[in-house]
Amino acid sequence: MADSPDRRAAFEAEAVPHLDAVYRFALRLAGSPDAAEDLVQETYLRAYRAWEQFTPGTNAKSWLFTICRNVFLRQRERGQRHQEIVERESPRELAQGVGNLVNPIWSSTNDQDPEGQFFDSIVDDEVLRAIDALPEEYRTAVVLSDVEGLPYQEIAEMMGVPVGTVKSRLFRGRRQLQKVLHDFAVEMGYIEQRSSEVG
Amino acid sequence: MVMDTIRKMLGGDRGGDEITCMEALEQIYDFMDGELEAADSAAVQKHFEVCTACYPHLKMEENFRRKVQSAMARAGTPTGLRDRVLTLLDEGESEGEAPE
Repeated sequence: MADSPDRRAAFEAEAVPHLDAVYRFALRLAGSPDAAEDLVQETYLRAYRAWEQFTPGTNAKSWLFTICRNVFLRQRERGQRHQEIVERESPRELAQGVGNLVNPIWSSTNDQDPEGQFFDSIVDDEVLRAIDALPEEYRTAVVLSDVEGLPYQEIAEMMGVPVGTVKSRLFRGRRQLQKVLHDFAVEMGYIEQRSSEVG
Repeated sequence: MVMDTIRKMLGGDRGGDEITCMEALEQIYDFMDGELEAADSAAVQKHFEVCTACYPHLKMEENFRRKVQSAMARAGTPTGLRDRVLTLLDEGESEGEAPE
């Protein structure tokens, strides 16, 4: 069956404008520009072939992110084994995690930099390295929420997990990232280590 | 309920839209992520505006998020990627691939 011009036009209007966002996401998943470009191309090819499955009026960006992550996870399955995260998701443990309300970073910096301005001093490459070092489940949640601004519900559907799990992954991912950047800032002398409680 | 007891301890039983420090910090990510109902969001925002103890927590989280966003924004899309994707779609069409 030949593709109609309408089909192609609709795809170009709805899906192609999200190319920058999909590439940004793919780069954090795949790690290198070459691998990210391959991932983006595969994502768009699959999306185009499956275009009839897209529901008009829903978020095309989320739909593309879902395809992109599925392609990435399938490629990874064929490649080397990866580190599985240990999900601590019993309500009690989740409450304990979220119950740790005062950010440990803040306990360390509150007398010298309470508003966390040290984050500004850190070079972008170091931040990207720290993001890439997160387990994929945390990395995806943090990128989709903090950078792409997707609602919890959409991230949950994308990742095939309950909203509570998304919240837990965001909490742990953000805290882990903050700790790495805090330790880097201490190492670089942007802030002094005042507390041994960060850990 | 434990939470009710803590709320009383922290002087949270003031009625109206006032919330305690604990409640504000508990909801800090829901608030920043736009996941709260308008009334709850307004109550949390008001708390952060007036509470000198909690305000720096919000600023720190905002500074952190801004840094993550600006670092991510630096990675630009490679030149010509859009054209290469469009070419790929053309090839997909000429191969006569039926949608699954």
